[in-house]
Amino acid sequence: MATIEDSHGSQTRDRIGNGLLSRLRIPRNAFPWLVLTPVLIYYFVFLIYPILYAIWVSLHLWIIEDPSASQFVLFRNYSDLLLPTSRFLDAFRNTLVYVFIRTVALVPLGLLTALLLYQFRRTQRFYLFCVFAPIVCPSAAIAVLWKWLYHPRFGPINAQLAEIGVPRQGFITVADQALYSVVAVDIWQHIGFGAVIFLAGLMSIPEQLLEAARIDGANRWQLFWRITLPLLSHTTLFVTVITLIGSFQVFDLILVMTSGGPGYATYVLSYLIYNEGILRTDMGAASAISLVMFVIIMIFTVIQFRLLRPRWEY
Amino acid sequence: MFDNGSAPATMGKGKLSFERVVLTLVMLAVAAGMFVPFIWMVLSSFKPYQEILSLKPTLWPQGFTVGNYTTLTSELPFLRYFLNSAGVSSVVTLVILFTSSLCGYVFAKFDFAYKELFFMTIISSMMVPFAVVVLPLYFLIARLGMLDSYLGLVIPFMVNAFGIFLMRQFMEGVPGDLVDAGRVDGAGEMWIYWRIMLPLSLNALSALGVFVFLWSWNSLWWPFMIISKSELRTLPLGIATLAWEYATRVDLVITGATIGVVPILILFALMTRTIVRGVALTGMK
Repeated sequence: MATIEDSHGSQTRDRIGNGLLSRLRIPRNAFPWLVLTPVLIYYFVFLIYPILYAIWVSLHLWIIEDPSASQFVLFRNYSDLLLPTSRFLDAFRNTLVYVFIRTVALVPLGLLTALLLYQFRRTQRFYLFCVFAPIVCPSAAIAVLWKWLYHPRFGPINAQLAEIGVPRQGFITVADQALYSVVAVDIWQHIGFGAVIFLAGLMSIPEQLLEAARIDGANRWQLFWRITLPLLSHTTLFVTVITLIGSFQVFDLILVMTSGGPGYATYVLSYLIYNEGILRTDMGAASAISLVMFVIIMIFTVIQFRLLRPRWEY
Repeated sequence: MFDNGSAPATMGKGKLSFERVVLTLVMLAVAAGMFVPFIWMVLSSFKPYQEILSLKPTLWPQGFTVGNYTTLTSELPFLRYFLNSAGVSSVVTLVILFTSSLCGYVFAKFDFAYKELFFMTIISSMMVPFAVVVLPLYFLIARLGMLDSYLGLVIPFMVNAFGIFLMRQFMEGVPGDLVDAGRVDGAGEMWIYWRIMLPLSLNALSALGVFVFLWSWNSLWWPFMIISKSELRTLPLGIATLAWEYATRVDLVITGATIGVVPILILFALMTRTIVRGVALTGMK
């Protein structure tokens, strides 16, 4: 801070001194270009080019040994996704189920947790730590941990179930439970995210507003539905869209917990992209799937940008 | 945010009411539900193989042992994985902080042709899911000969659109007088950036730094794509490999996951508010 206060004063010239930073004489109007040129080139190489390449590949019969000899097939790769041999529809349905459950569960759970955290002041930091802990951990470790908690024979969850007389469950090892078991872990891991966003929203509600309503005789239930919730509507939309977009991109948990199995029970779009592109080296199919996913996510992102706009502008 | 400054409206009046007790019990149950799995994991890492596999699981280790750690580190170089993750994540974080703040400064305090067009081009990349670019990026990195290298882990993540957006927003709030005063006194642009803009942006930089570091530290997909040499694995990739290659050695797998989780939880305990604020502000995951 001292530097800034000094920069108003007359000694600034002495403070600027003769270091490397001040010997670097860059004309003012050249500076933006000097910074942005490398950044834009970088963007082109590592982001725009890969997208264009994905589009190009999705329109071709891609030959791995000699990509330049690839044959133009228009939308063949896309229409092939609908063939019975393709796993696209399975993965698409699984992804929709996953996204739906994860979003519908995480938004209200986040809000409830925030309402609960809001009741505590001195001990809030401790509870915040517990609720948020799974988010900061690597998903790979979370996946490994739950794979074991879920273990059909030796896992503690099944031991507890046996204790209360419920038969042992297969969880991630059986097709009809696997997807739900993975999404449950994902929900458990991310409750804290919505919770802290909602908590910030709750804390920004002016005290006087609630006080005034209370004086007017509103009970707590009315307070929540008539005042708190409407004031959190923007926050709720934000959390919903962020959660939706995040849910489409699940990969780590699936890769480590089930690798798409058993059978194809937990194939989701991102896992199918990896599987088609790397394991089966069908780059055309993989690119087509990734672009379908891109379009879906883009729609939600545009909604998100619309929602965020009021915050951007001054 | 989260500074405990304002008392919540529904706080009890200091007396221990029935309602207060119920609330506390519910909160404790939620906190336990989130944290007990970690405690169970850490305790299990000190149990011998037979105890973990017993049909009646124990919570507290009956036959306490550190054997899992010595066996694990002799089977796989977990210390190396840890250092790899620390190195890669630190470099990625520093590079992104530098590029984001420099671009943020340019977008916040300069006027030039096509400024908004460039800005929107960069920002719009935020909507590109990693799944879309991961395969082309893989082939690009392969053609650059950077598979199985630290460089390959860092190169695709040197510029971050959200970081640029955040730093521009923040730096637009820095009074223009400060920048002008520096210019009048003959300071170069790099000097102004380094000595005026950066010190004034520490809040935004720390939030962004926390977000980028955690995201890089936890990432699995990209290392999984390009790393096949054992000694170059990052910690999440090491844990995943352990789960695949030693699937039946649950004692080792649990121990590996513990090594992956405990350091980050300690860091989180030390700076809970900074990390929560960083993640909440930046909308991680």
